[in-house]
Amino acid sequence: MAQQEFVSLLKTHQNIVHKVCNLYMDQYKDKEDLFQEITLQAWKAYQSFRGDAKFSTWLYRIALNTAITFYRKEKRSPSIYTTDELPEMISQDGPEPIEAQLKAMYTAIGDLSKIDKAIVMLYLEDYAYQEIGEMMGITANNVAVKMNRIKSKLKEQSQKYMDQV
Amino acid sequence: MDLDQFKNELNTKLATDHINRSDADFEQLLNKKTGSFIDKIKKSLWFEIIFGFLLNFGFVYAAFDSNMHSLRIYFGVFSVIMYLFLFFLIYLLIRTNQIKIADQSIKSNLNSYIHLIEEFIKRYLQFTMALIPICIFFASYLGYTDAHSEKLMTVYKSGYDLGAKMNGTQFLVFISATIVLLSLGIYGMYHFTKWYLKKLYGNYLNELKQCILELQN
Repeated sequence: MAQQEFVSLLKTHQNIVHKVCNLYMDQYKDKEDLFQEITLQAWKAYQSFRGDAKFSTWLYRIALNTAITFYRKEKRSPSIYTTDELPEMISQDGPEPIEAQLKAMYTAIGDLSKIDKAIVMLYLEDYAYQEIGEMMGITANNVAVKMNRIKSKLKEQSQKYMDQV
Repeated sequence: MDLDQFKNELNTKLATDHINRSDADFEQLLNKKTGSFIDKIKKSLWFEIIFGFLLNFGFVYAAFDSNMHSLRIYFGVFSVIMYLFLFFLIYLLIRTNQIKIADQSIKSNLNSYIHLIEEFIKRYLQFTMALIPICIFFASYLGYTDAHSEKLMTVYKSGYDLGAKMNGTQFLVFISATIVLLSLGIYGMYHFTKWYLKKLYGNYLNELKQCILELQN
C-alpha cells in the first residue's frame, strides 16, 4: 500500500528527479544510475515522511543530497551537457540565435560546482532565498550573495562560449 | 545574456528532457540495490562485524584449546582486542544508520558524511597500527619464553651462539640494524595503510570537504 502510494507520488513528481539527474550528470549511464539511487533513497526515507513539508520540497532535498554525495569511481568528462542534446528553438532574439545563447548558458551551468548547481536548480524552481537557505543549510543573505556571484559567473562564461562559436 | 533571461527555457528543458516512467518502471527500480557511498560503508561494516565475530570464535577456541601457553595468551589477547574493535564497528554502524538525508540540509548531510568517513579512517588506522607492536611483542617474547619445539630451540640457540661470537661493537651494530629495520617496517606499514585508506576514501572526502568550504564562503 505504502509502496503504491510512494510510486504514485514519485511518478507525479518524477520531473524533479530527472532535472537533478540532467543537471548533475552528462552521460546517459550516469543519469540512470543517479535516477535509481535517488529513487531508492527516497523510498528508504519515505517511511519517515510525515507530510510536514510539501512532497516536492522533500524530494528536492533528497535528490540534491543524493546527487551531491553521489560517488562515482570513474571520473568522466566534467562538462554536463553536449550541445547536441539541446532543443532547437524556433524564434530568434537579438544578434545571436536564441538556441545558441541557450546552449552557451547550459554549458556554463554545467561548469558550475555541485553546490552552485543546487542553488541554481532551486532558483530556477522559483524557491525563495529563505527556502533555498533552509535546504542548503545557510542563511538567506548568503544565498543572495551566492546567487549574485553565480549570475555574474554564468553571464561571463556563457559570453565566452558565445565568442568561441 | 543572463540566467533570468533563460529561466523558463532552462527549466522546461531540464524537466522535459527524458522519457516518462511508468508505475512498473518505478516498482522495478525499487527492487534494485542502492549504491551510495554510505551504503557501501554499511555493507563493509556488516561484513567486518560478521567476519570478525566468526574469527573471534576461532581465537577464543584456540585460546582455550591450545597446549602452548604462548598461543593461549596470544589468541586470548587478540580476541579481547578484536572484541573492542567489534564494539567500535557496531558503534559506527549505528551512527551510519542514523544518517537520514531527508531530514537534513545539504550542509548537515555533508558534515555527517565527512565525520563518519573521517572517524572510520582514523579508527581503522589506529587499530591496524596497534596490532603491529602487539604482534611483534608476542611473536618475539612469548615465542622465546615458551619455545618447546626442538626446531625452535635450535633457531634460538644459533641466534644465541651468533650473539656470543660477536664483540661489543658488532653486537651494537646488530641490535641497531634490527631496530632500524623494524622501525622502517613499522614506518612503511603506517604510510602504506595511510596511502591505502586515502586511495579508498581520500578523493571522495576531499570532494565533500570542498562542498562544505564552498557553502561557508
